[in-house]
Formats: sequence, structure tokens, C-alpha cells
Amino acid sequence: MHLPNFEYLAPRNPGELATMLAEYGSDARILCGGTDLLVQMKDYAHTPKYVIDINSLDSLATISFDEQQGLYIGATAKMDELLLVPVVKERYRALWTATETVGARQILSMSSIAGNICNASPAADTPPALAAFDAEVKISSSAGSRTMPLIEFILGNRKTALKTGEYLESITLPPPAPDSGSAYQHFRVRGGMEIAMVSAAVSVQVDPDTGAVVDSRIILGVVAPTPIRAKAAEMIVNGQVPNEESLRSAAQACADASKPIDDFRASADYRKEVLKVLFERAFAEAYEQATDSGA
Amino acid sequence: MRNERDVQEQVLADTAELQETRAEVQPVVQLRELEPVVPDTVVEEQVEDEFAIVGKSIPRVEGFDKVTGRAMYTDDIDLHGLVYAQVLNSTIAHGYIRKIDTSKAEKLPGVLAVMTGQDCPTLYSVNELTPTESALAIDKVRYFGEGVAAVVALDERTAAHACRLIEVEYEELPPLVNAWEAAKSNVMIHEGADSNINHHAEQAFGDVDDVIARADVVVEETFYTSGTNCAFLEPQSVIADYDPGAEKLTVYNCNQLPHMLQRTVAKVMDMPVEDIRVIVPHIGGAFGGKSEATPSVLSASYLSRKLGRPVKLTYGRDEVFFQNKSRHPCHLKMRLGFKKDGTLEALDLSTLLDGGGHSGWGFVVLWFIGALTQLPYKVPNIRYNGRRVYTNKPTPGAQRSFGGVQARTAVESCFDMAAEKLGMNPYQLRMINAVETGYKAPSVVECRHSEFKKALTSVAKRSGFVEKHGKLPHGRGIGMAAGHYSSGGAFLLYNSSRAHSTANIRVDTEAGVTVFCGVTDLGQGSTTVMTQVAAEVLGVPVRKVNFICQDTLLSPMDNGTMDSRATYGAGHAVKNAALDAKRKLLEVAGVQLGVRAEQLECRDETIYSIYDSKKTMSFWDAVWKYQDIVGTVFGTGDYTPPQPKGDYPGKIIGPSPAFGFTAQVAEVDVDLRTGQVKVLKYYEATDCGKAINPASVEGQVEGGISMGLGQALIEEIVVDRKGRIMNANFHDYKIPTTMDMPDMDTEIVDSYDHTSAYGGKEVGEAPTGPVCAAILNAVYDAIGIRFKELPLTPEKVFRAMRGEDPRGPELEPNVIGFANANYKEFLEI
Amino acid sequence: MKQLVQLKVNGNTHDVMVSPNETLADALRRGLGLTGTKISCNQGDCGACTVLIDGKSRLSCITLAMSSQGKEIRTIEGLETNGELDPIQRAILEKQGVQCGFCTPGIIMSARGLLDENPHPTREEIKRGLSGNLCRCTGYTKIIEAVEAVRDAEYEKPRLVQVQ
Repeated sequence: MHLPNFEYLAPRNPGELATMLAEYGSDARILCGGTDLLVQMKDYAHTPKYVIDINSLDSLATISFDEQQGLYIGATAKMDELLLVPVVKERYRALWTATETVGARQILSMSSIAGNICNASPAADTPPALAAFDAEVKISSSAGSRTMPLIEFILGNRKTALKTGEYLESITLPPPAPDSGSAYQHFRVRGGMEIAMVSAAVSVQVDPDTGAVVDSRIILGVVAPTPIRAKAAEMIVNGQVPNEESLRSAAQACADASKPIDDFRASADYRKEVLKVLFERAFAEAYEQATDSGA
Repeated sequence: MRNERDVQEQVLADTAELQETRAEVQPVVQLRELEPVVPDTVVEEQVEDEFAIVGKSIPRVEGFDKVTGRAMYTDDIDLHGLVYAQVLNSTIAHGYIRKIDTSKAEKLPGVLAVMTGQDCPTLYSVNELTPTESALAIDKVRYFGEGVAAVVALDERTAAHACRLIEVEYEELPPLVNAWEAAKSNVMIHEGADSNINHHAEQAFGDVDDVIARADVVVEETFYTSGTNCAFLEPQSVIADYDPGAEKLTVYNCNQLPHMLQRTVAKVMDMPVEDIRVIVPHIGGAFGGKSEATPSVLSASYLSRKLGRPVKLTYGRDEVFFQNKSRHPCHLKMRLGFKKDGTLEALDLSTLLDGGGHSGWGFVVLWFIGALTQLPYKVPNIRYNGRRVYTNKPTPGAQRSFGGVQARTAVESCFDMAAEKLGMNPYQLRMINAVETGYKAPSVVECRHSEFKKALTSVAKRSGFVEKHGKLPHGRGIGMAAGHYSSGGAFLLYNSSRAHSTANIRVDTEAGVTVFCGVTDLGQGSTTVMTQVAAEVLGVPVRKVNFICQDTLLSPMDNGTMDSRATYGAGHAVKNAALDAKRKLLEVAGVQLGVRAEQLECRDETIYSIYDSKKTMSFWDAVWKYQDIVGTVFGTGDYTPPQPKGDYPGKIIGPSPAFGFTAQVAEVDVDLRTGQVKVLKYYEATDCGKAINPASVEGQVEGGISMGLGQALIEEIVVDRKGRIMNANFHDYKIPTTMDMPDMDTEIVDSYDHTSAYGGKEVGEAPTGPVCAAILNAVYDAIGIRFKELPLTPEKVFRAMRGEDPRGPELEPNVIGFANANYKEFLEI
Repeated sequence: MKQLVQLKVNGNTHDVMVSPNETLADALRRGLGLTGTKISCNQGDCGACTVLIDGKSRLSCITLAMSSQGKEIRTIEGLETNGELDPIQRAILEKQGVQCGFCTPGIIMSARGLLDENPHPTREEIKRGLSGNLCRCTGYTKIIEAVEAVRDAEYEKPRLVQVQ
């Protein structure tokens, strides 16, 4: 339970960060909250030569919202700060719930959304919720920047699209459509300090006149190495007023799309069954929000 | 799991030879010659309203230090020249150590010494029957995480780094991780043995088979209770400080039983007991799991003597799990026979305990499970047949409600099953059979005081149990369970006939009242309770009492804090010591006041005549005079419980001078779609005699319930087929958080045990025992499915609701599966 | 290689030599002798090492000492003012929310952080707010009651009445 040896670096601005990453490459790890990296280092899962602490890069800590650009979350913005932004609770409900679910107050005040993404744990709470809003990530390096959809950024268990020398600079979520709603549901064995065993994030846009679903995003968490988008399920719910039968077949489509693991916590079979329930509950919640806001 | 069934068939096939070696057990009858009950102290004439300090919820006397961070736990202590040790733990569960290369570690700058098993080869155990443990593994490892080498360095991180440089070559043996398999294996975990069965317990009172054959209603069921970890927040830590000049060793360690630890260290270090001083700093929770010596104590002692300087060794959380010494996983087969009117006539229990690599307290747990079926219900015919088997797993030992969770889960589940068959409310069936003051079990167990029925009635009333049971909507349920625990055994653990508890007291104007006592405060509050007792007797405020314990140089020999014996046993000793000092003091005061000493009382720091309000003097003036005339006021007192007569196997385990009782009701909600069980509300009623400190009693009850709730729903040590613990951390081994605990409604029923000092008896362990059963019974009430295996995970409930085998498809790492053995197989292992 | 850092703890600035791989918990305990901050799981699962950093509850066992430079660190040793216990310390003591005491400093710091942010938490908010602090002794009931008592101003310090 001791950290391996490393050299500690603290860049003063994003430029210095990019330079350090260019210089030390794969010998370096970025430290933001520490709730994942330092725990893994104590297990000797990582033994980087350099730890680059970006906690004090305040210029990357911004959270902002406007109707055109949507929600902007800087790399070092902490989860508890996100929870205090009213628009997140009001209009990005799935993200708010997923964030609120993480660990406990201490963890929320230390962890960043960006860190939760870059750690790329299949059990992470916020990536499925972010993906339900078509979140994009901005990746930067000394060579410049690029953006990509979050769902493509996470490549596998602990694997991301970050190349040597790159860092995740920000996350952007488009403004939510009118008459839309979202929800996040997770299943866990313990009431507090717990990670999800299965999760589902749903966002829906509803035609206020007919009650039919105009568009939806259904993202499944912890049932594959990465969050997965259940397109087949979306196809089932899109274009019609949801009913018991369509929801049941969408739930089955979610289960079919999932590839959960068997381990000592639960069997794959059971995780699929829970996934169906979570989807249905998340969908009902999101749909209710969408129709409420339209009223 | 399927494999386990195969194994059981093999077990059946192999029984013939084993049967021959099994001793014939004759039913033991005619054991009713008990010594007459002699009151241990003069029956208290005071009524509780008259107590000044006893019965008051005063805050913990050490509480200020604990809320300000001043309280020093072992790892907080720094000594001049202190150096740090760390342990390299085995990465396999079973195998020979062929080679250990420590050369790289020795060369690391900052490293002072490296040791391996051969350096400190004396074997030990907390029990004298099976001393098989050692500071570090010698030639062979028997469980995953067993220490194989230790390094001492200038700082902890260097020591930890050096451990990583040690190279160990193992020759692996097949790990025996399944108790059924181990019971019949030809691979011996302890070489030279002819079987992996560590201990076999058999007891019979009356003719159980005959009575059950004639019973009106019989229930018969198998259960599996899981292995959990005590999960105290403070990892074990030790500082060994060898003084080369005096050739004496001081050990600072968070151990519940300093006098026992002293003997273990003396044995392994080959030093006289009196040259070992054990100091127990504040203990950050123990729950039984700190009642044995950890190997770290012996490694640190060896290294300190080698270097001639103090050595600290603090475990990481993973090592707490490796060393375990917590709840035994247990398979139980229970049969109960009732008359039509609900009277319990016979109880028949067989068990198989998964014992891990060593024994420790294990054989006592084995007997205790049987002993704990003799109460809290009257049952004239009892048979118990238990075995404890070595496996290649971390060794279980003692955990709060030692033997109780296993016994209660089986008995209380079967009671609800019987109530259904009898067409009775479960509360009614419990009331019919509940023990009362004066009940004598067919063994030598005797219940000298009980308000158990009051507790049952209280909890039933407050929860609305009778009205709700069987009538809540599907998915909602209510369940009852009850239990008891001993307030210390009747027999001493140490091989001697000395008193179980001794207290010495000194009263003078230089230090006030100072009590020297041998009990250990694990956080349960014994220091506060003992202080209240002494203050009550002498009529001084609590703040004038110094309580010295947890140091073998100063504390008189004590049986230690375990078996819920502190308030009862040590409470007697402290009261007797204070009475002794008071008697001496009042003689001098009587002369001063011209009053017979026996007409004087002490209260509010004043000595006064009970007949003449004008005859008073200050308590401290009296002490001053006494010191002038005689010297320091010394008092001494001790306590030994009555020794029951009779002779049968396992006699020393079970009898107790007093028993605490608990009755509990859980209300649950089952998510019908996911199987998740949520406890909505928990009701409890305690008969702990007179609560010396009611808020402390409530704390014991609430904490005890939370431990039981964890075991019922979320806690289990999971070991894979190679014997590796899958969840040796607080992330995957889940103990309840604030979000998991229901609102609790507890009550201390009106009770006063006249055999006790100030009427109090145990409350530390009874409340943990029935929690699993109460929840299982509530889940049955909610969804009509009876679960017999802990913990009750959502997946098990979900599968059962779908009519599937709750255990599901075989999960590779999950080998702690339930073995649905029939009674015959149980007998024949 | 150890480096000199300045740690501002409980209002005092300390020059401490730390290794880059030293956690704040280690620096507080071994470097400054502030052993009130406890290590239990040592990997961020139990809350025993909770301290306030710039007013926020943080886990010092997974915070680097180097990262803590220039921040206001508050530990259990810094809660008393002029020998007076903080109301939450008094409440935990008097309501018997303390048994073995090992989780207590973390619980108290966590509760202090919660109450500073939200002086009137509901019972549910208190439960959620303390869900990162494991306690094995109490079953939490008395701890939650203590925080409720502070919320309800039961332990408010007597204030000086301003005389006009």
C-alpha cells in the first residue's frame, strides 16, 4: 500500500503540460483527482517515471453553458462543482444523477469528469450519461487539437484514443433539444461508496403533440468493456408512443446488445436481466421528464 | 458447486473407514447435579433510582481524546530510534517454499535486516491443543497471503520496496479450498496428520432420535452461513521494543487479550513471561478479530531483539483479510421436533466448519455453535455433532456473536418453519418456548436470570408484528428472530485456577481514586463502565477516577475482553475492590465521626451517617486521615463465576453466570424485478440486565445489528479455486455504510440481574446473532421463499423468484458454494 | 529524492521534507506528528483519512503531499478554537457517536465539511454526506443524530450579546 517512486511535475499552464507530455511521453501519467491513478499505483498497476499533476491548472477548470454551445466541462473541473451548476440538474439530468452517484462527498470533491473518462473503467458512472447527450471530447497536444465523440474515445477496459503526448482538454455536450428528458439508472449492491454493477442512461426527445419519441439515445454501462449504444433499442422506441410491448422489446434489445462479464459479484445472465429493468426505469423517467417539460 | 455434489458422493463412499475411527458417543444423562447457586455478591438493596452514576449515559471517559485526535493508537506511537518492518506475503495458497533469495532486498539502502520463517521457528496458537502457527511460513505455506519473509528498514516505504525484491520459489500443492473436499482429501494441510479434520465435537443429552420419531411436527433443513471479516477500522499494528540492557521486551499492540499475548510472545521468543510487557494503546475496533496474536507481533519481536531497537509493523488492509481470524463459514443441518401445542422437544444439529489453515479459536467456535442452541428456548433433548476442517484459506477465528450467527440462523429459521406447520404466529411459538429465570438446560447450562419474554413482547408490540406478519403486500415482509449470549464462560482459558478477573484500587490525595484492572476497551466502553462502577461505590464523580488497564505491568491478570464478559466479570472485581477500599476508609471515618462504620455511606464526595444527617465528613478529608493513620487506601477484589459440576465432552463451553437476551424484528422490501432486499426498519429489545450506561448499550445494539445486517446482505469473503481472496479490500468487501442502515427502534427492557454487580449483563454479542435470521424470515414473509444461504444477494433472490436454483450457474471463482448435504452425509464425514 | 514543501496545516505553515511518492496522510502523520488523521484502508475506500483542503472533504491517503502545497489544510487537531470543542466534536462525544474512535476524526471532518457547505442538511442529506466514512462500531445512528443536533443548533456556542 505504498506508492512506487516517481518524479513529480506540476505544469503552470496548458502549454507547459503539452511540452511535458511531448517530452516524457508514455513515461508520464496525468494526475488530476488521484482517486483512480494513485489507487492503481499503490497496487503497482502503473509505475510511471513522471506524475504530472494538473490539479492547479485553473484555466482548465471551467464549467459553462450557453444555448448555442451547450455545456462545456474543462479537464480539471471537479464533480462536486458540476453538481452545483443548476442547468446540469435541470436539463442534463442523467449526467447529474450519474455524477451524484459516484463514491461519496470526498470522492466527488477530488474527482473530475475528465478523469472518470480517461480512467476508462467499464464501471464508471459518468461516461454512459455523457454519451447519452452525444458528448464530444477535445484532445490536445503540443501539435494541436482534435475532437471526437466520447463514445469513440473510450476504446476498451482502461484504453482510450489518447495518443502519446495528448491529453483530454474538455468535454462538450450539445444543448438539449426542447421537449427532451434524460435519466440514469444504476444497480449496486451497497447503498454508499459503491460502483455500479450495471447501468443505463437514456435521453429522449418527444413530440409534444403526439407523445411519440422523436429521437433517443440509449447507452448501457458496465455490460461491456466500454459504454455501448443500444441502437437496436433506439430504433424500437423511436417514432412511436411508448407502450409496454415496445419497451419490453427494447429492453430485450438492450440485453442482446450487452456482453457483461461473469465474476464473483454477479453472473452475466443476471446482469442482463437487471439491465432490462434499469433500461425500463430510466426510459420511464426520461420520458416523463420530456413530457413534463413540454406541458 | 456441481463438483461439490460429486465430492459428497465420494465422501459417502469413503465413510466406512472413517466411521471406524469415530468414537461412540453415549447420550449423557443425569447431569443435573449443579452446585447450589451462591450469590456472587450480596444482593443489592439499593433500587436503581438511588444510583448516582450507574444507569447514567455519561459520555465516554476517553471520548474527548477520541474526538480531538489525541487518542493514540498503536501506529500513532513514535519511539526513539523506531524502524519499520513490512511483510512479503505468499502469492499461492498451498505449497512448499523451495527457495527464498533475499540478497537484493538486503542490499537496498536503508534496509537493516531481513528474516524468514526459519529465524523464528517456535510454533504457537491461542489454544494449547494445536500450536501450528509461526511468525512466518516455515517450508510450507497454507493460505494465500501468509507471510514468507519480513524486512525491517529505516522507513516503511523502503521496507515495502525491499519486500518486492525478495524472490521466492514455490512448489505448488493442490489448494484445498472446499471444506467437503478437504475433509476427505489425501493431501494433508498439516503434514503428519491422518486427516484434515481439525476437531470433532459430539454431545448428546437425552434420546434425540426417539423423541423426534415421536414428535408431532418435525422441521429439518440445511443452512450455510458465510465467512465474514471483522473489518475493524484499525489495521493491526505492533511496536516491539527490546531492551538489550534489561533483556526485557515491551510490545505495543492492539490486542484484546494482553495477558494471553504476553504468554504467546514469551513462548515464541523463549523468554520468561514476566520479561514481556504488553501495552495495549487505544484499540480501533476488534470484535474478536484481535483476540489472537498476529504473526506480525512475533516478527516484530524477533527483529527488535535482533536489532536492539524498536520495530513497528502495521498491516495493510489486504493483510487484515489475509490474517482474517473472523467468522467461520459453516454448513449446518438442523432438525427440530415439536409437540402439537408448540412445545419444543428435541433439537439435533450437525455442522461442518471451514477452518482455514490453522485452528486458533476455531475449536471453541465449533463447540460454541452447539452450546448456543441450548438457550434461549427450553429444549430437553439435544444432540450436537460438529467438525472443523482445515482448508487452504485464511483462518477464521472469533467474530462478534462467536458461534451465534451460525446457531441463530439455523434455529430461528427453523422456528418460523415450524410455526407455519403448527399454524401459529412465530411470536407465539417463541413465547411458548422462551426460557425464564431459573431454567436449567439438560447440560450444565443454567439460566440464572432472564427477561427474555419481556424482550419478545416489547419488540412484537412496537413493530406490530402479530398484525403485520403474513398480511403485508407481496414484496413487503416482516420477520422475527431472537437470541442470547453468555456473559463470559464459567471456566478460565488459562491453565490455572486463579480468579477470572482481579481489580486493585488505590485511593489517596495524590491521585484520587485509581483502579487497576485487566479488561481491555475495544471501543465497546468497558473503561467508562468500570469507572462508573468504582465511582458509584465510593460516591465520587467519574472524573476523580483514574482507570489503569491494558498494560501487563500495571493491570492484574484477567481472562480478557472476550465472550462478552467485561461488564459482568470485571464489573464484579472492580466493585469488590471498591467495596474493600470503602470498608477500610469508613472504619477510619467512623472513628472520626463517632459512628459505626456500617452505618456510613459515601455519596457526592461526602461520607454520612444513614441515620443522622449531621454526622458527615468530606470523603477526601477521610482519605487524608486514613493516609495519616494507616497509609494509602488499598482495596482488592476479584471474581470467579460458579463452576458447574458434571462431566461430558465440551462441558467447559456453554455455561455462563449470566446470559443477555435479544429479540428482533426486521421489516423488508424486496424489489420483485431485481431481487434486491432493503431493510426498511429494524426493531430490537434487549435484556442486558441493568444498563450501566444506557447510551453505550444502545450503541452496542445498533453496532451489533449493523454487523449482522452486513453479513445478511452484502458481506462475504470470496475465495477463488486457487485459494486467492478476491475481495481483500474495503472496495469489494462491502461493510454497511450510512446508506445501508435502516432506522432503528431499540429498547432496553426493565431488568436487573441480582447475581451481577449493579445488575448488568452482556449486550456486546447477543444483538448480532439473530439479524441474519430476522431478515431471512422477513424475506420469506415478503415473497414466500425460504433462503438458507448467506449472504442474500440480489441475484440469489432473483433466481429463486424465477424458480431457479438460487446459486445460479457455477461461477468459476466462487467456491464458497453451499453444499446441500443430507443429514447422513453430515454424520459420516 | 526528498523535496522541501510548505504545508499550511490548521493555520500554521510548516516546512516539511517529503518524497514525491509520499501521501498527505503520511506527511501529516509521520512528518508533522499529526496522528489524529487515520489510515485504515489506505486506498480511498473508507474515509478515515478525511481532511479539509480549502474547505472541501478530501481523502489524504490518496492525495500527494506535493499536491497540497499552498492549500489550507484542516485536520482534526485544528477544530478546537481556544480550547473549545467544535460543536460537531461535542455532539459526537455527548451523543455517544464515538466507540473505538478510529473512524471518528474522519467522520468529524466529513461532517464539518458537510455542515460548512450545507448548514441545514436533511437526515437523508446527512446520510449521503457521510456515506464515504465507514464505521464498524456504531451502526451510524448516533453519528447521524449528532449531526442533526448540530444542525438544530443544540451545540451552538453561547454568543456574546452586544451591549449598545
